[in-house]
Amino acid sequence: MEQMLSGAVQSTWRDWTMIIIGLVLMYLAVKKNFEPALLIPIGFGCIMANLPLSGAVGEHGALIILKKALIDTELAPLLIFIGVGAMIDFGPLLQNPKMLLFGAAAQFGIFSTLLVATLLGYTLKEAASIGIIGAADGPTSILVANRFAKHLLAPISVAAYSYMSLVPIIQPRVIKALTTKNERRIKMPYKAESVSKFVRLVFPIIVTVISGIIAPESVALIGFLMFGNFLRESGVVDRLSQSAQNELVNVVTILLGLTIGATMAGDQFLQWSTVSIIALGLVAFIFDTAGGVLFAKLLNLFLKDKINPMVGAAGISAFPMASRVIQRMAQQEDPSNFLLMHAVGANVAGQIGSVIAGGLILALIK
Amino acid sequence: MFNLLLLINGPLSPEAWSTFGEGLSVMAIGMTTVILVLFFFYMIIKLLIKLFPERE
Repeated sequence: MEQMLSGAVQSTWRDWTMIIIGLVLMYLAVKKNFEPALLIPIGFGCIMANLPLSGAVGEHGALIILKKALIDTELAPLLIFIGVGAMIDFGPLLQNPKMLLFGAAAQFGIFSTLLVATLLGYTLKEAASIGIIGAADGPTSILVANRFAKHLLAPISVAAYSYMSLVPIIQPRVIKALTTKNERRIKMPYKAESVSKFVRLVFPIIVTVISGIIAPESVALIGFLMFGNFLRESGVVDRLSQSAQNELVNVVTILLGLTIGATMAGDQFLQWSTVSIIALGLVAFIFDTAGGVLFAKLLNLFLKDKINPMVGAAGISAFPMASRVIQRMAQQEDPSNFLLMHAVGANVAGQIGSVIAGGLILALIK
Repeated sequence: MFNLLLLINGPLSPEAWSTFGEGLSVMAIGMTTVILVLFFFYMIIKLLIKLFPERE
């Protein structure tokens, strides 16, 4: 009897607080639809990891074995990236390639948050791991955080996935603060370039080669993403493409979420640093949005055909949510304004921009 | 508050400003490179579309 209750007897307030946090994450996922594919396994993994004397995280615990196999080796985010690449259609971007510039500008949040984090006293590696929340891209955030600040992986992952769900709440406020009504009503006629299948096939190869030459550390990150896209565009391995988009992503997501939850130990998670990371994650998303919007406004000083600055905000990597937010805002300002294709192009460009930014962070910080 | 003091560098301490300086160079190189690389991709895409037009 005593042995059966030994766990309960040895439990601390931190254990039960973390179990409640796990339950809250699952509530947000189920009731509020906050990134349920990640927050459900993270929440459940958190509960399993914080039950006193949990065998799931003991020396031979299943969650520890999974963590060593998938997170410590950096395999999980890379495998997910194959699926993400297979899901992405670069067509809207290739047809409207100037949107690439907004995919770059909207990564401003990564670097500016890195600076703010350094001022709060974090080391450069920790600050980079926190700043990468601004990539608005789960696998990139996990890969960089695991490389540079394993002890911060749990709050960074939770922040990254939570704020991706909050894009429809964060972005409109930032956009309205930085733009006038007239700017938000700018119409942009859509003229799609016709893109051959050859260009669609060559694009992922070129991105991989050039990014790999500039930042060799980024080859795995960008290569796996572009490999997935090549599977899609080749048109001859539809089975592999479908498996990458479905089975591969789903299985790895389940296991990744559980193992991230397993890293949410109370003594490490319940720190003031977790609160500051959650706050800095919001800063990252705000600066991402601001970076894209202000870049568009800067370009408008020199352009005759003005760009709607809201399209700049779509350069954040949260696909497809950011593009839908911009389209909805445009129609609220003027029901005849149709910005979706521009926004989708910028949104897809943001995926490339965030991966390159992540690769550069890995290359620049040793 | 005590935990905040346990950060390796205190907020706004001389060490924090030193790290900030390192972060500035990462930001300068990083943002410039991201913008230049994506602009380079833009030029390549325009060139590829011209060289390999879609067949009617």
